[in-house]
Amino acid sequence: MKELIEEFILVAYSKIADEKPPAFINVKNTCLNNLASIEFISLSELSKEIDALNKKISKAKSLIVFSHGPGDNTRTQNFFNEIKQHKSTLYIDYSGGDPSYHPFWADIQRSKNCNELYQCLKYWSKAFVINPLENIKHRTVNDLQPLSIELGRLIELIEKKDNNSLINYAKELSDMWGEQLNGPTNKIVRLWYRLVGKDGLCWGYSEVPKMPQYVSLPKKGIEEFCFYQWLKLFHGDERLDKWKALIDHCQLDIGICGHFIVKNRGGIYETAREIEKDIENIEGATPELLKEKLDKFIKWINQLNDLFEELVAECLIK
Amino acid sequence: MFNQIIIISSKEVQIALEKSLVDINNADIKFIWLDDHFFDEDYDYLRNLDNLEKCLEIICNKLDQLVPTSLDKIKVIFFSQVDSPKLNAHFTLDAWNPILHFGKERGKPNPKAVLFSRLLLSYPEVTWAFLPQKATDETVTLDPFLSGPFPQKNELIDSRFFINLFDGIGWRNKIKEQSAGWGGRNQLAVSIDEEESYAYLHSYIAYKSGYLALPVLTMSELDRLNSLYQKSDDIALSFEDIFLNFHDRETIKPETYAGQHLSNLERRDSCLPFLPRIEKRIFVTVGHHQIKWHKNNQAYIKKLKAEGHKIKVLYKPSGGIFNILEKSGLINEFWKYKQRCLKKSVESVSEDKGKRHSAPGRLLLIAQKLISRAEKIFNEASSAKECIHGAMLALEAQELLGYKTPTTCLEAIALKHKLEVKAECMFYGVGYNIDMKNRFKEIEGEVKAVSQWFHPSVRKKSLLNGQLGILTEIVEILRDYGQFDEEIQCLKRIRKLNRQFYFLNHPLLRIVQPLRAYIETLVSSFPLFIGALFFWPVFYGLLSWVCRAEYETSSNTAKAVGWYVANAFYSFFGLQPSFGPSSTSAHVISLLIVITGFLHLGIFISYLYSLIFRK
Repeated sequence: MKELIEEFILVAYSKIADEKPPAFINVKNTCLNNLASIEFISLSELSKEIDALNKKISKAKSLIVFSHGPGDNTRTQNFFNEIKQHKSTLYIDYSGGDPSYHPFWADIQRSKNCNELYQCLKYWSKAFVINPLENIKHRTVNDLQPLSIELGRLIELIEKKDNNSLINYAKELSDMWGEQLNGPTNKIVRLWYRLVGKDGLCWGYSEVPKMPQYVSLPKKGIEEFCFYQWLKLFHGDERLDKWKALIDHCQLDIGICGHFIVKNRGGIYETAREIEKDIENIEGATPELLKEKLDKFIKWINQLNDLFEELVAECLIK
Repeated sequence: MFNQIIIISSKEVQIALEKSLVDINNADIKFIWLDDHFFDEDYDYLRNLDNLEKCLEIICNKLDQLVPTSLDKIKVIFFSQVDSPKLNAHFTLDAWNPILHFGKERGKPNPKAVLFSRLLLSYPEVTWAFLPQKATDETVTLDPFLSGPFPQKNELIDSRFFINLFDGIGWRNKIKEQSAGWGGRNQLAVSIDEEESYAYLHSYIAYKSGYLALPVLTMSELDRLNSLYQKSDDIALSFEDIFLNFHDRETIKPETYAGQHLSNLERRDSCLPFLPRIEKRIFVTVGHHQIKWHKNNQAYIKKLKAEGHKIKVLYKPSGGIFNILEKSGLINEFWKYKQRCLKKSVESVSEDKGKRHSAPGRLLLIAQKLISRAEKIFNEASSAKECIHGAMLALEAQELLGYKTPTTCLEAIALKHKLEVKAECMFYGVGYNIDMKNRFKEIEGEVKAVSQWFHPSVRKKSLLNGQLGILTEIVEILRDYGQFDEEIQCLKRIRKLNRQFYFLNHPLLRIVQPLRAYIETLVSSFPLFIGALFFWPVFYGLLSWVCRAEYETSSNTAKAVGWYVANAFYSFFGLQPSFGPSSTSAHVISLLIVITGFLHLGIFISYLYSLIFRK
């Protein structure tokens, strides 16, 4: 009967990119602890070792592969295609352009023994997935840009005291926001769902807006997943301060069971509602008060981007 | 400053902008909208490189509809956040790599900046602007960013950006380092002149010499440059017109500049403290002395020199690109930079180990786009500035190809030289005599670097053929513009190359090669011809004396050296011996004298003909 090991971890590195195994295993390029067998092999030499590797893989319950691209050799590519078919395989195709690339290799070089190396590779096997943060940030900015332009135009017309144009523009906006559901409140709701996932909201609020149909959530493969869970898993609770500042800015709070609640009235959602109401009934609105609300909303948008940026920077550090 | 502003955004942003910019009458604003997924950074969308290709095609179609020479007056704002390639973070540089490609099977999203980098390289003259990741202070950097990810309307139409053609911001340099292994321009040069053609010419010269260059045409640009660099030594070279008279001088910071005469160099430096920090300064002037502070300026220049600045004064009109390089003391730098590039190309041939790699396909596509635009400019250019614009496009194409893909690269080199020569001919600021020797040297070096990529059996022929092709086209331009001396120099060079080419194809006839070389040398140089007229009779006279040649004469002086030399002169110019030869040696020498004389008569007639042809 075959003696099975828990995990086999293969790092297929690129010599051209100056990657190399950590110093402590540089003779055999392999190490073993009670949980896993780890092997480093350069992509250029991998095709010669495929039979030996297949034997080792067959003895492992699960397999994690880090590979700097699929290699330029057909045999190597076929080998990777075959091992990807196994359910127990986690295949990570990394490249020099990945934001995690440098920290990943720096971490490997820092490992002084097999246990440390195992911990490091296990961490990166989770963290080296697609980073949904950039994706959420760009979607949010793209979503809020038209709104920022529209609100900027309203401010301009108020400052010019061009009432006729202001009334016409506000009516146009009000119709458009109503038809296309792209007014400030809808945009905030979409942002909330983007931040906490489709099942993440659990309102304490009486008027909880439903998730709009066209909120696109980050995807991993075909399965939508929760950004908050991702952050928690790969960056740990202790690193969530920036995240907390971000959701606080968005008027959200962490509730029980990983769900979120909308904080009490008086936040940005309320401002957005007031703006919409004023625009709908522009003739009855006080331009100076409306301008204040518009200024507040635009400031909020700019701060939101800064908070996202701080979180992006934080997530690059292990 | 900009003739047109093009905004590339999502459809929703476009609609919002169209409504917001409705009362802007003084700017021509056009829109291009791309798929929302692009701006959303949708990984599924970006995984498929074809989607980026489609975006590229949409943008290129729009830009290609415009007149090529007008593109340097176009600002294109990309409503997309991006990091500067100068950040030097490894992933940023990788993202700005135009040849990066993740195949669909790898499931990795292609960075949006791959598209941006291709656009920047394809349209270097366009002023590109992007949205920064975070709100920025415009006084901190030259980077072409709007103030933040949510820009205000006024920012879209303002013209605070510098001319991008000579890569003053250094983004293209970074991208080229990453993809083509070229780059190497680490220092910045500025060319301050209110005359566009001079600012472009000097910027181009600095760029050719290995600098990133920024033409400064307005007081507002000069003022912004001052606020950016007054505490840094990043600008290494400046071309400064002494008599600056910007159109906007009254409107920019009157509290600082009003009443200040910028032609007084000491005052100029105290108003603009970034200038005295520049190590190499080249003052350009028409040289009139009627200004009050002419003596002060001279004294100030002496003082700057004593402080260790490298100062040169260049008088307008100058004499073409290489003359300016020579007079401004940049010629050595130019050749050093050129040698470095040529050496790199030779090294890459040896590293290639005979695999005959050509330039990456996408770079080739970009280069072809640049070449086709440069060709259009060459055919339609009506000013020196436009020719420099075209030459710059050809130079960019050449650098992207890195002397690989030889045929296309030769096309780029030829176009560059044609456009440079045309610019020199069209430029009223260029003096009559243009330096051609350095141009021949540059052409030879470049064609040699390209021919390294040909098979060894055709390498030498392609070296000669390439030079001949370029020079033949240059001759036509010089003829069209009546640059006779330069044309003659070119023709001489062509004759020399033709001779070498002929004997390369007819190796058995190489024995007569020195004779042909001799004739061509004398035809092209009158002083050498006169020298030859004295040399040969003296030589034959001495030879007759040494050989004791016998002639039919009873004179006792026949045996003196002077007699033999005089006799040789008579025979050489009379084309027949003055005394009948009576010994074998006298027969042979007389025959040689007559043949040589006849040959030189032919050369003299050719020379006279060329003089008449000139008139």
